[in-house]
Amino acid sequence: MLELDLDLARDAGFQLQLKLKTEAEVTVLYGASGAGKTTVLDLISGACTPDRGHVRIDGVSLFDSERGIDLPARERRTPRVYQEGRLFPHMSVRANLVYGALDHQSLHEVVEMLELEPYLNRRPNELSGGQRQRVAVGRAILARPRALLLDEPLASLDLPLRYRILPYLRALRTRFAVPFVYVTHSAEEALLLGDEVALMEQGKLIAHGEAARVLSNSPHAPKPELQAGDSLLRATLRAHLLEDGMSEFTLGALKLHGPPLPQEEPGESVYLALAARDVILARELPQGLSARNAFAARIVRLETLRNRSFATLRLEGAPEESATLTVALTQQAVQEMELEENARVIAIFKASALRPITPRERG
Amino acid sequence: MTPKHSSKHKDSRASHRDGRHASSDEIRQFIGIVALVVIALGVGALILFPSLRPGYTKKSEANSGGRPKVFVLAAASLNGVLSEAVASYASVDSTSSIQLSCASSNLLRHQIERGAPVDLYLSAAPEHVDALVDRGWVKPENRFNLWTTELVLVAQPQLQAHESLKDLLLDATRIAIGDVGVPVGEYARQSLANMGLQKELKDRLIPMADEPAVRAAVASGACDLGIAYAAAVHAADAGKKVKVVGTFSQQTHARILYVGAILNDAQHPAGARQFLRFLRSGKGREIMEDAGFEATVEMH
Amino acid sequence: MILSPVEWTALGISLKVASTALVLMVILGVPLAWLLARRNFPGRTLLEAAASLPLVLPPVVTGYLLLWLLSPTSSLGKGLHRLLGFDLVFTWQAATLAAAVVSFPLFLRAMRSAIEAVDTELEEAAANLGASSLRVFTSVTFPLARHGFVAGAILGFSRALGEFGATILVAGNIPGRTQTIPLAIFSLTNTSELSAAWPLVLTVSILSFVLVALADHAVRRGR
Repeated sequence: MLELDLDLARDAGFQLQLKLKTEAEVTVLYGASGAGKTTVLDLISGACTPDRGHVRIDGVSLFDSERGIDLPARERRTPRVYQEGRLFPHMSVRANLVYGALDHQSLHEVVEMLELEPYLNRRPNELSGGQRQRVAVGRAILARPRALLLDEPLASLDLPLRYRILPYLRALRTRFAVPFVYVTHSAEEALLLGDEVALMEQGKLIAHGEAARVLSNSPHAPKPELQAGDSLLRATLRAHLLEDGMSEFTLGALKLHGPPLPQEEPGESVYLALAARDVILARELPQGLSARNAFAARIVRLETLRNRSFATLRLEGAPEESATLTVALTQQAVQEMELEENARVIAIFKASALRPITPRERG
Repeated sequence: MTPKHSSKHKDSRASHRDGRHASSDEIRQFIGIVALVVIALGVGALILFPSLRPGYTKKSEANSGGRPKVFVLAAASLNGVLSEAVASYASVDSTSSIQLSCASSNLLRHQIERGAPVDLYLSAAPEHVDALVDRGWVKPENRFNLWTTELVLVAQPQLQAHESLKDLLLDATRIAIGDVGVPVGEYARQSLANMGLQKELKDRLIPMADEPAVRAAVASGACDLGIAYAAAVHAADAGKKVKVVGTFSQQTHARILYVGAILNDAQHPAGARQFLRFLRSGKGREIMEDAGFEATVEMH
Repeated sequence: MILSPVEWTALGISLKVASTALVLMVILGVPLAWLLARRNFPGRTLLEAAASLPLVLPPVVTGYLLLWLLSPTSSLGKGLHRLLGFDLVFTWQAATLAAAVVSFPLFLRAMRSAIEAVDTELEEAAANLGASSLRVFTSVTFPLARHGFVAGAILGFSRALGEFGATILVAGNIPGRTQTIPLAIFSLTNTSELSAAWPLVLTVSILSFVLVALADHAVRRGR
């Protein structure tokens, strides 16, 4: 249970006002840069002091201006995972991990969950970016946190890597009942990780609630109408094929067929959403297919979540930021098709499966 | 195809050469820096060594002040009284000016032996001048006995001392004494040895660089007692900073003898001789005697 | 024997004085370096200047000031006598003090630079993980500033080894008690032929050379 009541006035007219109460496992602070998300983390961890208000976790007051409580940072037990990791360069991975830990009881488990076993005796500078972030997360989890504060931890990683790390975070969240406060400006991360999303803009809380609802219903959300598990493609309208009830789009080197968009002009950039359950996988391109979209892709990740399997695909020929597709599969299909990571498949979906996301006017 | 190929080949060779040798720009920079360093060294040398300057003659330096400068090295204990004498001398004789430098006699002697350009050397102990005579730095006829004084025990003025010399020494915590080789220290050690006190006082003796330093150590309170020259104590502000609390018997140490010498290499022997004459007669002698430096009867 | 008994004694006193001076420098210098590097407080500029003063002051001046402070006639000197039971002047302790004061800025600067070079973000991360200020210092700041500490210690020690002007004023040139190598060399030039001082000159030159090379090496490793 996280209770926040924060009031902070900074120089240059920036004012933060946030009232939040949540029992969510992962609360995402979402918004554009400068919205004040990192400042909220600073106020929770004690790097910064609010002008007035309170910070309570599970009933314990870390700060309360009315009662004169202001715990110093080191006593709050709110470790942070930073965007740049901030691992101690002169210590081994193992030493980093146990830095904040009282005992080594959970070490083995966390190491296993984060798959850090082979790196324990290495130094941080010998690790890749993704490995370092896993160590950073492990270090924070092992510091017996009351709450875990994550400040855009995946921002410095490239896209495929981000999707590799998200499952680790989800697993940790489930295993250790510690509230996560997760700052990001990525809608995908917010959707895939967050139970609740707090939408912030210019220091104010605009909306707070269930992730998909906040992101799709809010007039201020940049990419509304998304459902959890949707893939988002940003394509360019190439031509109208109105007599066929379709439009043609380009997505990098790929030619996409999607729904008709009579009000858009060719050359316009459009967001198209694709539900995970609307994608079919095949080992080879079938002959005579009714679906208009069939593209080669490589399976980047395969995971099972809640008895369903999800494959993360990388479309070949699509641009970086719009090359990821999430596909829902049955476990039976995975076994029959002998699907595994790095396998090359064909992703198939109908033109009508693509849903245009039109950003609403900001109110 | 071929011309293109060969020009490519030439380019790669040129760039290969560029990687191994400096470009013409870099060579020019290097030469510039070297030239700058040489010029700087040259200017520095000209500043430091006037003899290198064009139009320099030895005479020009010697007469730069107008009057010849007689360079006198004197025992440190003579510092106060000689300054007065030099000032008085200037009013009497304007043909030469005296440049005075004082330090312990042993240090001065080593400076002379290492080539210091000295005209007149005034030592607080005969052996240093005798050593110079032996080694050919001074002709025997240019060696002169000058003054004598007594060896005394000094303390801070406020000390009420009614004990004997021996008891005062034995009661002291720290005794300032001239360092090894310094005349005032040598005389003092002779006395202490002859009085049978050297073992007992060994750990309490604090060596000082010269005689004035002994008196200063006592005056500042750093040491309780000091062994110094009676004349120097007297000359220094009539004993306000330290007072004499005892005199060492003449039988316990070699006679304290100030000896002067005109160096063979002296640039201004006449000036040196003249100053010496001043110190031994007339106003100069008065100054020395008032200070307590008794002129010896014999000069050699 | 390469050195005469008197010379061995001088070497021994030099090492004793320099080592003790080093310990004093470190005890005072490490916390002070951290304070100057990490904290702002009123009077900070004054403290910085005072700590750097011995670096630019002629050593004899430092010695003079120390003598004036510690002399048995001064009130401080009298107080110290009551506390310690003896006068500080003309003792090896005074020589140690003189050497420590003169060499202190060298150590302080090296240590402070090294601490300033440590990323405060790492220190902040450590605090977030629950480390106290002291633990942050011992587990993060100091290990990362280690090379500066070593370089500073070596430089401070070398300087203390070679100290002359302040030492001779406040501790005197007493063989067997305060006569360090530089003082011994000085005495030898006063009483003997120039060449008599060679063994000591060579000893201290070689020692200093080795120490400076080590210090440079430590600084380079830190980069």
